[in-house]
Amino acid sequence: MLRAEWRKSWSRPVMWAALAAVLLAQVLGGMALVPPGIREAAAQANVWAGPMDEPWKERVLDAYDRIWNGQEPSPEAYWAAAPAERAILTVVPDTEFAARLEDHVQALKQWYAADPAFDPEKIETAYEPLRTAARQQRLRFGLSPAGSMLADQSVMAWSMVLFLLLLCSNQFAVEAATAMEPLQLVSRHGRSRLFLAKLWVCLLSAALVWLLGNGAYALTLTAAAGWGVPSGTIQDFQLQSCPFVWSTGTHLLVNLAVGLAASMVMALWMFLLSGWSGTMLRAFAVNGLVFVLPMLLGRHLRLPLLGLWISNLVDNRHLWRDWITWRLGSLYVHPWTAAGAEGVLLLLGGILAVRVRLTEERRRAHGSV
Amino acid sequence: MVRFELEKQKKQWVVLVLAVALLLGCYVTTAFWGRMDTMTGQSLPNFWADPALRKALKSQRTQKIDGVWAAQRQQAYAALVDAHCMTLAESEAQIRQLAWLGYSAEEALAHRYDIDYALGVLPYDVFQAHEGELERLALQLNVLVPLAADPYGYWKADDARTTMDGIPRYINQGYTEAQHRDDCSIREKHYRELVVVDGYCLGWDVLVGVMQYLPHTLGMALLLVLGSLFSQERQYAMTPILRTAKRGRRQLLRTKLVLALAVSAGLWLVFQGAVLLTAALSYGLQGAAVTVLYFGCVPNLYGLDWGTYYAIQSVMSFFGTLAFALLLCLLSSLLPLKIMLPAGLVLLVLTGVPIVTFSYAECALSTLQKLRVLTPPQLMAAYPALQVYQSYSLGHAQLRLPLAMALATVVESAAFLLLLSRREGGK
Repeated sequence: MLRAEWRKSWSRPVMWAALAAVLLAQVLGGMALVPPGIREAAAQANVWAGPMDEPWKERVLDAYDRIWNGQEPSPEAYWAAAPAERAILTVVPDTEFAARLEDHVQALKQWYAADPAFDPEKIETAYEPLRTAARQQRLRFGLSPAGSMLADQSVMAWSMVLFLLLLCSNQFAVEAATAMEPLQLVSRHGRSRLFLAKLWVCLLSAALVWLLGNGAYALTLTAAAGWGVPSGTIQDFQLQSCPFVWSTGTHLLVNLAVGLAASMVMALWMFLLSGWSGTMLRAFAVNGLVFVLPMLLGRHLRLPLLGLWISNLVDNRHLWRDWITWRLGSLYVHPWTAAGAEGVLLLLGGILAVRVRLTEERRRAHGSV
Repeated sequence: MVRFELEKQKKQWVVLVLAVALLLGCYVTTAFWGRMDTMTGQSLPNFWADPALRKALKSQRTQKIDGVWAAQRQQAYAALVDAHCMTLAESEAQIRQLAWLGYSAEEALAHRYDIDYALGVLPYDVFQAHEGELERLALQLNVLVPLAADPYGYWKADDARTTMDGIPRYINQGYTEAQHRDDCSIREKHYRELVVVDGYCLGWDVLVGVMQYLPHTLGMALLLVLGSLFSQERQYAMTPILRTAKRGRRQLLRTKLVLALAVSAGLWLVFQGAVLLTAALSYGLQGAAVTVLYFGCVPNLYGLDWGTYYAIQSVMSFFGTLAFALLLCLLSSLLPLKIMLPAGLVLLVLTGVPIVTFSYAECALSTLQKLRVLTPPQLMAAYPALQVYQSYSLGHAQLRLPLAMALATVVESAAFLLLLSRREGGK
C-alpha cells in the first residue's frame, strides 16, 4: 500500500516540477550567497589555520607587524594590498580571542543588568567552557566558506514549507471531494492502513526533498566557495557569540540536525492538519496560516519569540547566535531549550494524534462491517 | 447570480473569515512591531518604551516655519542659556573635560546664543536634562530654518557633496546623469513654492509605512478568498454545462468579476480602515499638513505633506489591489485549485517582499527591483512609489516611478481582463 501511495503522490507531474523548483532554488540561493573571491580569501587566511596557541599568536602578530606595522590600514592601503597581506587582518582578531570573550561577557552582564533579579553568574557559567578551551589553547583557527554558508538554511526552509504545503494539502482533499470514504471503510484493511501509508509517504517525501535540496545546496557551495578548514572555531563576537565550544563543522551539523527534525515535525503536523481540514482550500488555508504566516511575520515583525515557531526552526541559526535567556521567576529559559521542548512536545502530540486517528479509523471500520 | 456565487463559498466561510481576521490582526500588529524604518527616523520601540519621549513628541504643534517661528525658537534657546549660562571658569573646566569639543571657553561664551556651542555654555547636567529638547532645537535652528528659507538651494548644496573619492553623490547612489537632471527638475519645480511645516506626524508616517506589508497580509487573504472562484468549476468538470446555460458564460464571468472586485475593494477598505483607526487611537492623526521630511530634515522630492502623501499612496494601493485581484482570477481560471493556491503563494512570497529603499539613503533601484516594483503585489503596496526619485530610462526620456506604476496598474489590469474574457467569456 505504501508503494501504491508513493506512486500516486509522485505520479503527479506537479510534484516533480516542485522538486525541480526546490533544487533550482537551492542552486540559485547558494550562488547568490557566495561573494566574489571568497574561496581565494579563505584559502589565504587558512595559511594560518591551526591551534590558536602562543606560538601561533606570535607568528600571526609578527606577520601583522611586518606587513602593516601593527596598525589598522586605511581603506586605500587595504585595497591596494595583495590578497595575502589582506588575509592576515582576518586572522589578527583571533589572537585576542580570550580578551574579546571577556568583553562580550561584560557586555552581556550590562545588558541583563536592567533586570535586578537577574543572576550574572549564569553568564559566567555559560561561557566557562569556552573560556577554559581558550585558556587551554584547544581552539583552532580556520575558515570554511561552504560550511558557514550551508548553515544558512533560509532558502531551504521556504522550499520545504512550500513543498509540504503542495504535498499535504491535497492528501485528503480528493477523497473528501469524491466521497470515497464509505468505499475505503469496507476495504480489507479499512482506512487505518491507508492513513499510515499516506503519513509515511509524506514523511519520506519530506526527508527526500530535504536531503536532495541540501545536497544540491552543498554541491553548489562546494563548487563556488569551497570547504576550507571546517575545524575552525566559530565565535567572532560580532555576529556569532554563542557560548558553545563549536567548530564550523559542529555548528553546521547541529544546524542541519535541528533543521531536519523541525522539517519532519512540520511535515507530520501539516499532514495531520490536512486530514482534519478535509477540503483542499481549508487544508491550504490552515497550513498556510499555521506554517507560512509565522515565517513571513518573522521577517516583518520585531517579535523574537516568533523565531521559536516550528517552521522558523528549519533555519535555526538564530538559536545559536548568542547567549540569550528569558527569566521566568527563578527559571532561565534559553531559545535552544525552548525549541527542544517545543519539538519534543509537538512530536509526542503528533504521535498521539496519529494513534487517536488510527483507533478512530479501526473503530469506524468495525462499525461499518 | 452574485448570491449563488457567495453561497458557493458558504462551506468554507468559517475558515475564510477566521483566516482574514487573523491576517487583519497581523497587519494591525505591524503598526507597533513592524520591522520598518519610519521616514521621520523615529524608532517605534523607543516611542513606546519611553513615556516622556512619547509625551514630548505628541505635544509638538503643527507650525509653519517662517521668520516668526525661527525667532520664537531662537528666543526659547536664549531663555534657556540666560537661565543657566556658566561663568568663564566653569566653562573652561567643562571644556577641559570634554576635550573633543574643539573650541575655547571664550569662544563659546562669545557665541552663547549659538546652539552649536551649547556644551560650552550650559552645565553638563542641564544639557543632559534638556538633551531631547536641545537636539530638536538644533535641528530646527540649523536645518529647518535655512531649509524653509530656500528649500531648493538648501537641497542643491547638499546634493553637490561628493564621496571621499570625489565621485558625485548621485553616481554613487546609482543614478545616471539624465536621471539626476530629471530629479533636479522635479525638485526645482516643487520646492519653489514649498512652505515647510513642522510638527508631530508619526501616525501618518506609520500609516504610510505599514502599507509595505499589504502583499503578505491582504494579499494572502485575497488568495484564500478568490483562489477557488474559477477553478472550482473546472475541478468538478462543470465548464461544459455552464457553456450551455441560457445567458452563456459571459454573464457568469461578469458576475464573478464584479464579486471579486467588490470583495477585494471591501477587504482593502477593512484592512486600511482598521489600521487607520489603530493609528488614530494609538499614535494620533494630527500633523496631516506637516511636510514629509526624511529624518526630520530632507523634504520629499515632490514636497508633499503627510496627508497628501498618504492619500496618493492609498489611491495607488487601492487600484493595485484590484489589479492583484484580477491576477488571482486569471490564475484561478488557468490552473486547478491544487496548483493555483501554492503558485499564488509562491508569487506572493517572492514578489511581495517589501522593497526597502531607505528614505534617508536615496539610491536607485536595481534592475530586479525595478521589475519587481511593477508586479501586482508591489502595486498593492505602492510603498516605493513616492519615496525617493526612481525612473526607468527609455532612450533619452525618463519614465518616473509613480507614472510607471500607474501605467502598470492599468496595462496589467487590462491584460488580465482580456485574457480572462478570452478564456472564460466565450458563449
